[in-house]
Amino acid sequence: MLAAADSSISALYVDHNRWLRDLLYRRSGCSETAADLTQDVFVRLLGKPALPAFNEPRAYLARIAHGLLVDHHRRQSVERAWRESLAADADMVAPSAEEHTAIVDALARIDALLDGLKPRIRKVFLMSRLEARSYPAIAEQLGVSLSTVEKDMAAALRHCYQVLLA
Amino acid sequence: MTASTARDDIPQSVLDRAFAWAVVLGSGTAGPDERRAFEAWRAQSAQNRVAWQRVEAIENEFASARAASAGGAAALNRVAEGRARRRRRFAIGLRCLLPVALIAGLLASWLPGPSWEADHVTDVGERRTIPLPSGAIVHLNSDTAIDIARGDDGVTVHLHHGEMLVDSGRAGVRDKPSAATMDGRFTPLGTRFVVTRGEAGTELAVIHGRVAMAPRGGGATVEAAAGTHWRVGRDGIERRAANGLVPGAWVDGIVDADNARLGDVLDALDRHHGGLLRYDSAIADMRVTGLFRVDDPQAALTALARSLPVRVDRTTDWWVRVRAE
Repeated sequence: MLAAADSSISALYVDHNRWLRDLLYRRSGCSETAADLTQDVFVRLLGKPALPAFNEPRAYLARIAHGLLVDHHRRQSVERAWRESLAADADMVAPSAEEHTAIVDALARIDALLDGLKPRIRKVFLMSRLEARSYPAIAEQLGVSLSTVEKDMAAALRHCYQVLLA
Repeated sequence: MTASTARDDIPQSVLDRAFAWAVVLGSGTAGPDERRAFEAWRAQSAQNRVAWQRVEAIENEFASARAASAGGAAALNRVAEGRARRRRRFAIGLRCLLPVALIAGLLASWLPGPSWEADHVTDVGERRTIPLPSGAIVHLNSDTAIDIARGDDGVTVHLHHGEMLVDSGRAGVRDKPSAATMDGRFTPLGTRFVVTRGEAGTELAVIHGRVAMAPRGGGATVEAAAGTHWRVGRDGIERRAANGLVPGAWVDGIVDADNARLGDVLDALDRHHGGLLRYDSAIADMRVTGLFRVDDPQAALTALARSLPVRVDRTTDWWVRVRAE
């Protein structure tokens, strides 16, 4: 059964927005983050054509909130690491604020995409696709055979396919 | 069991080919030769083109980040290392949660999965033997996926893609497993037969006894005798001439060719080769007689190059071309 989306979302908001913000505050320890993510949860619901009928609306909201919180933490750690990269390399030109956001978004997406890959496969794949290094160069730097690099690349592509399109 | 729908739109073997092309083209050492062979592969079928579009969607995820950031890879490596450190630190705490995880894992394995999670799957280069309770045996060739279903009319082995040899062996008449693919159903009246499912449909080779073929799209059932080869497609059943390859010889780890086309021998070896094995059409009709080990396709290629006027170009083990000398 599908409920009419708009009216049920306002009802959800009235009944649970306060509870959700408290939950996110306890999990994140930051009231600003909690407020932002609470908004994001409801924005996400608005984007859906219809809501499923549920017995446990709070469990449903908490699940969406959890996903957003994971994304948020991922984005934060990627952004921190990216700033370190910038600081470490004097030759790199600091990007504009817009560019910065776009880069961090792209890197966070890639980080999520590669989540769960074995460390070596992940490293091989990043060297090839982000640093544009040739397989012979990667094989030499990591001390593995060329055919290992090729197998790792195929495994990484298969993994990305599962995550993105399965 | 009719689980084979949604994700089966592109067979895994076609996707794996597309991944292999992405590996070769993104090597940083690919040249016009690889490019041409790739274009030929893409032009071959609509399925190939769709598979390639999906691979491109993956590659595009990385293209924007590559253009924008020199230090991106280093940043992502640091993130992963930090995560691994935290994971180690919490490993002790996690041990208490293990039973919960175990139960969750069991639950997940009970739930009916999507079709590509077939009951039994072999990777490229892997072969496997599956004994059934009745005493019958199913042998899986490299790069093959099957489901085994028990119904009112006995055991049916569904072949999603790849190749299998069904050996009813000591199973009683009632217990002989049937085989099924998208194209048809194969009921054994005898004991030993090979079913292959590829892009062009299903092929049947009967080794011992007889097999009744019923096309999925309807139409008369045809009985296949020992020693005969058939193709079953949506358009019906068609008798095939023997191609000089002993059917099911891969069970013993070999390609057994007696005056076979070189193209057919190379296709058989390619099935066991993880990368891309291509050959020029000019050499496809040369004749070959001999035994070749499937576990070592590279050695088989070397042996072919010694006895025939062909040359094997190996850029790497992953990218091999056979051409006229």
